[in-house]
Amino acid sequence: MLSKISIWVAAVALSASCAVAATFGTVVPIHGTVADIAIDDSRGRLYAANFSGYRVEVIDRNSRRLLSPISVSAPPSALALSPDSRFLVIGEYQKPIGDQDQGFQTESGGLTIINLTNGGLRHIDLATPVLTVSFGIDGKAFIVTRSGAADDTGNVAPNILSLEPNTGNIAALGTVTFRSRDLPTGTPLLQLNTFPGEIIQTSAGVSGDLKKIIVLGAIENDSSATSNKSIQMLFDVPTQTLSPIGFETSPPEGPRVVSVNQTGDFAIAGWGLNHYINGDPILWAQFPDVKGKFNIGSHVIDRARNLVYANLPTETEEKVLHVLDTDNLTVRERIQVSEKLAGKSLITADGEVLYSVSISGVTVFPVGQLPQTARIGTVQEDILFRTADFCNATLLGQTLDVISLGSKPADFTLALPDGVRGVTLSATTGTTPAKIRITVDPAFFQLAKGTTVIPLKITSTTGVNLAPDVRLLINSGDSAATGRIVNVPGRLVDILSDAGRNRLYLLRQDKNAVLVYDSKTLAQIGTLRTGNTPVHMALTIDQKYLIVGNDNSQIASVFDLATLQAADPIIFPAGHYPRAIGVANGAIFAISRNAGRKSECADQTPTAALDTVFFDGRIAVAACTLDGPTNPSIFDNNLPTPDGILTASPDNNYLLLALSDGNVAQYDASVHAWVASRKDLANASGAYSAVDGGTYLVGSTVMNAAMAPAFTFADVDGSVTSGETMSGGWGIRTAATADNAPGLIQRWNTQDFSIAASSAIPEAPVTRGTLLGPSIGQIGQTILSFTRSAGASQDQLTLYALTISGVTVVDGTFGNSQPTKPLITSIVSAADNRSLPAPGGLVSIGGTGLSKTSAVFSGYPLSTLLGQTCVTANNTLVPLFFVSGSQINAQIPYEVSGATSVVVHTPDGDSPAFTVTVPEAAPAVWLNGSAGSLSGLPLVYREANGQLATGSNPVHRNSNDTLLVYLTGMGRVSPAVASGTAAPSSPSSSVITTATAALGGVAATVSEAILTAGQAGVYQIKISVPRNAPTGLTVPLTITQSGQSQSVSLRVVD
Amino acid sequence: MKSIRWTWVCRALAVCAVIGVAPAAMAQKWEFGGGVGGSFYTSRDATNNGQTAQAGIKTDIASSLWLVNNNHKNWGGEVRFDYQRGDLRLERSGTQARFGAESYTMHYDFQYHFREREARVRPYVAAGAGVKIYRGTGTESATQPLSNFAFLTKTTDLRPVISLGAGIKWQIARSLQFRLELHDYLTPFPKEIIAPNVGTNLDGWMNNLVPLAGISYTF
Repeated sequence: MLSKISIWVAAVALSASCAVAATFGTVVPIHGTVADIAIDDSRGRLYAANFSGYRVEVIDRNSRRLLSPISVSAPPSALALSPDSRFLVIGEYQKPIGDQDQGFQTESGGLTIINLTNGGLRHIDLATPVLTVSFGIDGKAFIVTRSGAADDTGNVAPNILSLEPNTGNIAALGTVTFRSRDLPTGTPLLQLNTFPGEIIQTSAGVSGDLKKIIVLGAIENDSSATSNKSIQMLFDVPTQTLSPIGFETSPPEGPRVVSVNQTGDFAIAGWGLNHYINGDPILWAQFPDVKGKFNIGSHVIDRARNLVYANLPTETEEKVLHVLDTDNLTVRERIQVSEKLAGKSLITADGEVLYSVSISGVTVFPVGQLPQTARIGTVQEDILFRTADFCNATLLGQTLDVISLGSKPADFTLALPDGVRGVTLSATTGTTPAKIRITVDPAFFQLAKGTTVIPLKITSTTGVNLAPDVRLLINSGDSAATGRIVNVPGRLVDILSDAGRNRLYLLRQDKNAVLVYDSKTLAQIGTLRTGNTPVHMALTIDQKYLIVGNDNSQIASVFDLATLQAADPIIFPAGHYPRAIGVANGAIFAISRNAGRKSECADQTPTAALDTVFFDGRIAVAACTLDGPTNPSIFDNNLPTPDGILTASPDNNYLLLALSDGNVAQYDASVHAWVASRKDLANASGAYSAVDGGTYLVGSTVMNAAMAPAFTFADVDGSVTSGETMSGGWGIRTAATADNAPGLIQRWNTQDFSIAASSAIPEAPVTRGTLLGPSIGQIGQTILSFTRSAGASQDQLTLYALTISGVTVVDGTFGNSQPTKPLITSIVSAADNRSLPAPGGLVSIGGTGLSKTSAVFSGYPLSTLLGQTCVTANNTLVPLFFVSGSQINAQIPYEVSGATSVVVHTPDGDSPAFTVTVPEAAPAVWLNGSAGSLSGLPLVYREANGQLATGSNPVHRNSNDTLLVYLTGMGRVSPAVASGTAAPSSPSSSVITTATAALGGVAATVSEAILTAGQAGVYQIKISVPRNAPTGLTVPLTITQSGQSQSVSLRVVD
Repeated sequence: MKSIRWTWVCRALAVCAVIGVAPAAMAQKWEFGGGVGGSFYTSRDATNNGQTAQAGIKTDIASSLWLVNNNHKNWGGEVRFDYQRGDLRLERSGTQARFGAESYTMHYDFQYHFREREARVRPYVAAGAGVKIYRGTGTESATQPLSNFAFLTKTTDLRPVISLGAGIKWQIARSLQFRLELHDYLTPFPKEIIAPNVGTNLDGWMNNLVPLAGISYTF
């Protein structure tokens, strides 16, 4: 019995493990809480300061077992190993008083120096808790203790110390305010769920060359570990100089971890990547969407590989180790880990292993093996399926290459979102490398007529990473749309046409890059790396430089367009994150998001500000007013929202500032001042343009020189404006009616605002709504309410639109020759050209421009596309028999009934919807029989001779005549037959709605009513001729179903 | 319906026979015989939309059976049944449509002989009435030439008939009589079997000239 249970338990465990995704790294649990770690490469050990365990854990790096710990008399708060690996210096926090009721001595601390070579131990008492211990290249321990209390004279003892470990001599380096949280004093209270990071609140990192030590700590008492105020201090080891700087952040600067690069010019402190220029930290990039918890998260710079490993939990990703670039924190990969990290991370000297303090103790990551570790990925980021035209129902196929990013293969599972129809995968599981055939049935997407985006999720149980979804872009294409789609993967948030160089600059926010494209060949010719989360671009007046605003960097990136190299960035005031850039003659401005920086001029902290850029000095300043280089503006520099844009008029003499709250302002370069501001709109979004000095476009509103609304474009089908550019003196505006609908492009007269031409483009231009999609691998996003999605070539003959799949290239002469759209004028039964259509019945659609060519069906099942024409009835594709310019013969789908909206789609556009009532049944005898010179005869056959009943082959009432009548419009059948398919001969499908017949008013027996085998939409009924039917040349035969009837005349004789 | 008509026709003929038989019984002079000959119809114009086609019945054979009672020196009465073949026809400008047909005629004629019954040669004239049944017998087809004028139909068409005739009887033996005659049967145009199409004007009377020769047994 015991063994059976064991087997069962084992089986459950095995199946459970199969379903769980693989993780990277191994957790070494520790009984306690780890405050700091130090790597002893020479001894193959890791030291972990167990803060609550009063000891330093010694972990064997090979076996990952805990060896005999080193006990200390106070909670160990910091560790550092001397560069020569001889000394381990343990910083100690507050000493226990000894009496259990008294807790810890507030103003106390200490150092324990262990000579690892001979086992010698030295203890030094200090008057303040030790916060960090680090070793510089001088071989001395750099010790930061908490600021002490002032003595009677107001002096505060130095708290930045230098320790000679060999002798134990301590030298004072300076006094800098560092605060931390006290351990319980007096009556000890056990504070549950409190961790070293929240108590010590300070951490230090050392550069790879050991010449720079950077400390991040608390600058004020912060019992909740949530203070926005922090202090950062750079210690230059060779010169023994301290450069402290206090600052405020939002959220708080957590985790309390500092990672420094090789030379110390870049360091990540908390969630910010700082570039140190002359000792001052400049926020080069930051992790978006972080929580700022002091005790959760970690990061480290892998100096050998020029990477950052970081776990900064966000709302959506907690147990993920991000692998990032060191210059702008672009996410390269997302690695799944078993638990959140919670403090310092260190990499061994050989670069093979990463040790991180984690919530259970220490997690060991064999980063040197990461390249060999199975990780799942795909060659393609996007796969674009594009039908030749809207009506094309041919299945589309593309191949997805699933690969392992490591040298080991990985299993994978592919999943489409629930409810997706029309997409099939050749396999949903497999092992890399694998080619997956993806087949799309356009019929499921044709009604959208634009691009439907379907995320294809890839998961793996053996791959340790999280692969971004592959975007399946299914463009069913409006047949009348103009332009071609060039797929450019990624979150493209801005487009700028460099007409002079025939280039397009596409701002790919998720990769923190500007993609440089040749505007003629649409080939990518370069990539420019920006700051973090770029949102907007602008060219300098001389067109030599490209400036990019970054929402998670306090710099604006600058690129030399001659060399396509990064130039010195523009440094913004601390706390200011430049978003939109506006370049006017003699002035450059930026709308900056303000993260808590107080105004220089008033006791206020603006949400956003307009910073003035001094380009030559590469610096931006926040003036008191909106300001200009020479004249202050009358308007206060206090923008209610950073969600805004700037753009210049074509002559650069004017700038438009528009905010999403509806505020607009105008800069006049001739007087060097912001001269007009209004708020006539409740809110603003979408396209924007300074058409000229006297005409501005914000969303759908045109404003005049005083920024007063002068005109509002009518929305087309509820469209959302997207882009605006100029071409040949005309305004060009793009709009989206729906995410998956075709886009709209219009040419408008900038003088009288009339629309000169309008055309559909194959897919919707990007809008804030489409850009605010789920992550495609990046952390966070900043999508402005305004979008610039349109640009023009130098000769203005080509237009470029940022659209769902990338860029859509449109002929600048669009709309000059307006095609004639189809028009439906009638829909009647094809049998008699009079009766109503019915489900399954054949109809004749009359009108103009119904097809560009004539075409006839070639067999069953009927195609829904003939001669580039298709028809929808209540959005259901209609099987077609024949199309021509004036007539279409088709079968009403069986599933359609009631008030039915019919639309004809051709390459020239879609017809207006034609509404027709489709009753349950509307029988109509075919009137296309012919006999000799006679035509238009009802298809009524006498069974007696198998010939049409005509005047010369009359119906005989006294001969037991049976008539075989062919009709259409008799409605649904059982067993059901699919629309467009020929009815089978066996079993025959019977009409569901009862049919009756009368000959000359005398009821006749209908013995059979079925679909005619081998045909679609054709029915046949058998009628027994009643003996008492009247005779005559034109005796009416009436067929009735569901209140709908039709009569044909027959000759009846005896 | 058809059976009812036949019943009516038979009753009518029976009445006529009684009329003739009664005097004959007193005269005690009877003729029973038959003859064969030809059947010649006049045609009618079928006019439709300004165009005209000829509608009628083709020339064919005719046969007849008769029973004659001579109860007066100059007058007699004859009960007669005629059978004629003759396809229905439509013709116009070299196009023609034909359809198999036949007719049955039953009528009673009064005969006036220009000589007394004892004479060996007796010229006579006859006049009477009865019914004529036209019957289409051809194979129906959905197509028929000239169907825009009329349809040649496989059905029956009962028409009243007026019989006019003249002939000569030779008593070639004591009980054998030879007869030559020419009859003209007039009926309304049989529009059931030659049914004018919609818009076609086809009316009037149809003359059917039947010359025949026959032999009678006299008693």
